[in-house]
Amino acid sequence: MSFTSRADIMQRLAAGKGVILPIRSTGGVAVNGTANAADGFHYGQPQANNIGSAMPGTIVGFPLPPSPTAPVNLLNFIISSSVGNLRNVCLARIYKFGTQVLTATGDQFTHDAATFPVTRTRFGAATTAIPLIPFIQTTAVMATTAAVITLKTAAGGTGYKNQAGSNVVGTRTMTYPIATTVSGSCFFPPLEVGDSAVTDIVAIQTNTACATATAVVWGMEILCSLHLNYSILASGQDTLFSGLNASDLAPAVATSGTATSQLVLFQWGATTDVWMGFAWGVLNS
Amino acid sequence: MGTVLNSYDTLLSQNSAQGPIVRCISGLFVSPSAATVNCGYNTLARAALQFTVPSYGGAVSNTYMTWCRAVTNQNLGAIVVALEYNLGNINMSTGTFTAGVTMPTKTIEGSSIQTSSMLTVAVVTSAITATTPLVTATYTDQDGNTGNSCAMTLPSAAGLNSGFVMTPHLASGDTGVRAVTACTKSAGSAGTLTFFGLLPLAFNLNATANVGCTSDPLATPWPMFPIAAGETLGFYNFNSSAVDFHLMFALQPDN
Amino acid sequence: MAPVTTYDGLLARIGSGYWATQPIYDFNGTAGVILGGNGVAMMRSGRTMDLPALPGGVSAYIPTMIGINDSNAAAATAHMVVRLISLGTLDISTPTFTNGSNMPTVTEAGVSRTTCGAVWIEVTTALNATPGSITITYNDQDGNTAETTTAQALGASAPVGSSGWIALNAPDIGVRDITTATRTGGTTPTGVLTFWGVIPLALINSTTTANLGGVENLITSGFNCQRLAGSEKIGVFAIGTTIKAISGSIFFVGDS
Repeated sequence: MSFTSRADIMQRLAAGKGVILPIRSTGGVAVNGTANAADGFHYGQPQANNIGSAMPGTIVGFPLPPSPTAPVNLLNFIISSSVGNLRNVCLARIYKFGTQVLTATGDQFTHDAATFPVTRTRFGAATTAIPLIPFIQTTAVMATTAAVITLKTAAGGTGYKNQAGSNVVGTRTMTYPIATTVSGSCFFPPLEVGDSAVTDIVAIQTNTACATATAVVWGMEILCSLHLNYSILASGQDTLFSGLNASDLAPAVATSGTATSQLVLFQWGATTDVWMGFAWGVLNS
Repeated sequence: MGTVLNSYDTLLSQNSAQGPIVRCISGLFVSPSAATVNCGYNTLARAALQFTVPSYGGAVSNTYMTWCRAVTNQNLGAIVVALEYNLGNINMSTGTFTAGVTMPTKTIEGSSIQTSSMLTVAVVTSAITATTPLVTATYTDQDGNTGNSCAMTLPSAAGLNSGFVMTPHLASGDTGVRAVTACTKSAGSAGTLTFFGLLPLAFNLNATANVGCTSDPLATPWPMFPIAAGETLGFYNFNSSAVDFHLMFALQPDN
Repeated sequence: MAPVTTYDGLLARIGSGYWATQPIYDFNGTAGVILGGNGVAMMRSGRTMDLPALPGGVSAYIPTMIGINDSNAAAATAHMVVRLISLGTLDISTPTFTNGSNMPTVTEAGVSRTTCGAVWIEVTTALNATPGSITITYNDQDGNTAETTTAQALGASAPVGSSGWIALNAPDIGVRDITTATRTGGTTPTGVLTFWGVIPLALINSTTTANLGGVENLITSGFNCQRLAGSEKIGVFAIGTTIKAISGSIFFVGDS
């Protein structure tokens, strides 16, 4: 039975029907290159649990209890860092679409085995596709040439399914800002005018190849964003009383198969801050 | 049932009539043994010091923690102040399990709730000699179901006051622990592992050395757990370093 | 007249003129040195005048708001505003312990008892280069028979304002009284220490940017309402050894 009131939520937490997530992140990478129109302006990096490796190494997420039986609605997210930077950090769930070869031109995207879209209940409707913000993460340092990609096939076929699930052939290229883009850097390929998200990536053309870099393509579901965060002092979002934002910490489910997903901190910008904090949520069953 | 949480006026009234309990505790957290994906996911130390709540006068039923501040001398820490319940322990030499208590009932928002711990920690309470021991605890879950298992492989010779969070290793679908009913170990010749169920009272971020980052329990979306006389407050630090700390708190009396 | 029991009651006292602000101000230009042999150094970061004797019509002082500005940008720091009870002083040269007060008797959750506090040491006359170690003998938080700590090393040449905390015998978390203290070792040691029993009031952070600080709202944002007696001492301490320069104020309401 779903929760119905503030008191109900507090009683569930007292009864142990929820989640406390201690958070200590790995630290980011110093993404290089100056963001510009050609690369889509957005850049940053996800950080996972610090007992794993920094991205894009061995990822250990912030673990929920195993296989929650119901949504786990976020109630609070509060973090701090030891470095005095102004930074936007969000708690996010990232889902792996697949991998991209950047060292050869043409259709170079390989989709993971799981079938997208990933779904959850939205506005009361079960098994509804969720919109994701796509980003591409280099997993080895780039060399020689700044790679260029477009969300389409080389022959002009569908590149992605947009927020409405429609097939879209991308026309806008993304050019990496620097030929020596470091490993772990994340950039955001531009979508067609009018689109705000994707529900799946179908194809990515590598227009211009680089030497050495490889990449992983992710979709991001932002759960809670701390838009103004001065690290050193804690920043937090009470998502129950101070801006209702009770997103589901549990992952959305692939249409078939199992999508690789991680609960991470996504830090916009290019610093190596390590974050400490907590998130907690209530089991909505 | 008390009314002190109904308004700031009732808080002020009880504060005046009965007096708060205010403490500053200065102490140390050890550098704990590191967590892994097989034992807790987050490195954690338990403070050697605990606070035993003193007796109350006849007009006081409970107290509530309304203020808590903590500062440490190391970066990248986060301190939890919690009601702590000894759920039992296992002798790592003999394998004998000694049962502890069951998590208590507490009145939350007017209803009596059987609490369960969402942050149950296995703590090294006397130094362990063992090579990557597999420790399997049998527990009663948040719904009262018995017989579920939580298995963790601890690091070799886990150090005194190292803590390992059980939650990621509970049975599928479980979120909390009401009681630990049995425990086995695969190896070990010395030491004791004790299971503590925690009901957090305050969460403090200490990501920057010498800077206190605080929570306001009254304005945090978290239950205000009533604290009874004689209960124990434990202090836990998610940090891999040895840490000096100053921890300050105020408990307000209820009627 | 009965003490204040409502927020309107606090307002009415202010309306009747029973309030005052008290400045906090200090500049500690000499970095502190590790004291007490326990982990890191602490240091006195701010002073305020002792509370005056209770005037007519005032039964206690209630601090409701504390604000601190930090004019030094060397490091982010937590400034701990605390009530101080002088438990005694130790001239380490002789050594000579001069007894001070006990921790006060207060009503806590309906019980009248001698409260307890952590023990913070402060150098009030600078230590020489070879000050030796100290022990204290104390009654613990439960009032048990006095016991003595292990010897804890003093910091060489610790300047005035250096501070640290005494490690009590496990599992003690505080003292009610220090019955004696002494110094051992050292070479022609000189210096004077004050032993403070500590009751916390507030914690206010400053950042790495100069001339920023913070506030603690002790009534409606983290409830820590306390009633202070006349002539009480309040101090501000910080962890670390960087130069501290703080200013600010405390707002008090006079209880009825």
